[in-house]
Amino acid sequence: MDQSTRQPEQPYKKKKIRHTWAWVYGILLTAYTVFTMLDVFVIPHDTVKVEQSAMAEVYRTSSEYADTDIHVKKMSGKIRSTESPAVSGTAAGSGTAAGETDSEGTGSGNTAVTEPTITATENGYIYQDENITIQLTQRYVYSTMVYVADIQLSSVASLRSGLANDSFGRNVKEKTSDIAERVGAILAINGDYYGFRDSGYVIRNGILYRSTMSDESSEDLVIYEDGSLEIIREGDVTAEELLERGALQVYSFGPGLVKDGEITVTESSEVGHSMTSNPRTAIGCISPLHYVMVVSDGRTSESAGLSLLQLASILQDLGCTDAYNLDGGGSTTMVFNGEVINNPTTNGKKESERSVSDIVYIGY
Amino acid sequence: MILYTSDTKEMQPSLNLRRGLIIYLCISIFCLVVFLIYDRFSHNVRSPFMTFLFLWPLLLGVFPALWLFLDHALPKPDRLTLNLYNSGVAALTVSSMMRGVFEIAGTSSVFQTGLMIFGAALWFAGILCYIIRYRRDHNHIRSLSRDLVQDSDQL
Repeated sequence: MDQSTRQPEQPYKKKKIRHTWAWVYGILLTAYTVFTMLDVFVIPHDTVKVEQSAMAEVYRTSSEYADTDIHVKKMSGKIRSTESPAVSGTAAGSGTAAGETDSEGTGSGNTAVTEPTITATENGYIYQDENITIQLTQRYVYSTMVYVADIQLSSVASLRSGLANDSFGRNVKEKTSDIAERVGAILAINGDYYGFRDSGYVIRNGILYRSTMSDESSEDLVIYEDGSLEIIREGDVTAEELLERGALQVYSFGPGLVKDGEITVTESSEVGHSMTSNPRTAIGCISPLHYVMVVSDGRTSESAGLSLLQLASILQDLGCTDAYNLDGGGSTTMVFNGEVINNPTTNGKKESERSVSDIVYIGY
Repeated sequence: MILYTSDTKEMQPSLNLRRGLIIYLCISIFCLVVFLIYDRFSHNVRSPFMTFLFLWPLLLGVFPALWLFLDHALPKPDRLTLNLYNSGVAALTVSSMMRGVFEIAGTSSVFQTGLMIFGAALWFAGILCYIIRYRRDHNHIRSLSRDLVQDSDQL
């Protein structure tokens, strides 16, 4: 065999693509990863539009509320002020004077008998109308700025949940302040961010949205028709049973902080894999229709943040018989009178409010 | 006389292993860097799937490649074995990283779990493929040596 006889075979030699498997597999793996990330963080799905009429029906049939003859004007979330706030250090700056209330709300059809008043105090505000009294204060404890709202209601119907874009579903998100403004909340805090997970009971305003158990030991917060508050384990009861018992709201984040007046978390208790000091959001019950909402700053040089035990201690000191931890971290937001009063720290930046799935609010 | 054979540009097995070893080492270092950067911005929220991400390519890539590279008695894996094995390790590493991200964020995904199972299956298929080939080669050598013994007896 010599070179001249082999030479003509060269042009017919099939050109081999090197690493075909690696290229094809790499592209497919990348595409799959991108899809999964988008599915988890971006793409909304399983979306259900909330019927406002259905929500109103729940409250009309609520035994206590049906007997009352309360007609309260729906607030638009902004009570105009003629006085400048006397309190420094809070961002809830717009309101002190009574009276000048927008009436563009669209809620449940109730109207106010008397005008609400907002009064500035030494370290906060007091909101008052014939059904709702909110005393908002701030204090510096555990090297952290903590905002406490003491709430007294005449009816549990004023303690409500708002969903982002009025829809239930995964990755349906909206800022707490935007939801609060849309639903006309007087006071609002972020909820449990149910839309970031596929499991955990979700009942909002008397409507069951999700009955998938997260974990048998997962603790949920239940707010009943009589205004009482209970912390339950998902393994002990189904979502349907809770609804039958008269649950108006069920939040699935946790853990429970205080039960029957006793702190139920320890120094090592944490949410998932988070560490000790974080911005926190919590809700507690002193007695039926007497609640507290607490949010804390964190992750900044001014405010370190709270551990769950510290948060539980604060709620216990406030007199709570039961208290529950809601979604914290960058989600932590409290809105009063249309203004964000804490310092949300999404992405470690101040005043950057995170979009969430839901809020807990006081309003009509 | 020049011989043209199709194998002239094929990589030698030892060279292939050495290159694989270096790539796996680089991926391990990359995973460690990913963890360190992610950890800096995750407000002290950690997940073992992210913290120990570098162990996947290190334990399943660097060490086996090093073993094969140093132990000349072991048969070198063929292309199919390598493809299956490497794809499995890649899927396991990527799914571990996703799990870490999701745990830190406080969520989960069925797609991530699926990828981890798929990766484990590919990795196992690669191991199985290697064992089958090893046994086949071993049997082949035994039959060859048996034939050789028979031939020598006949002589």
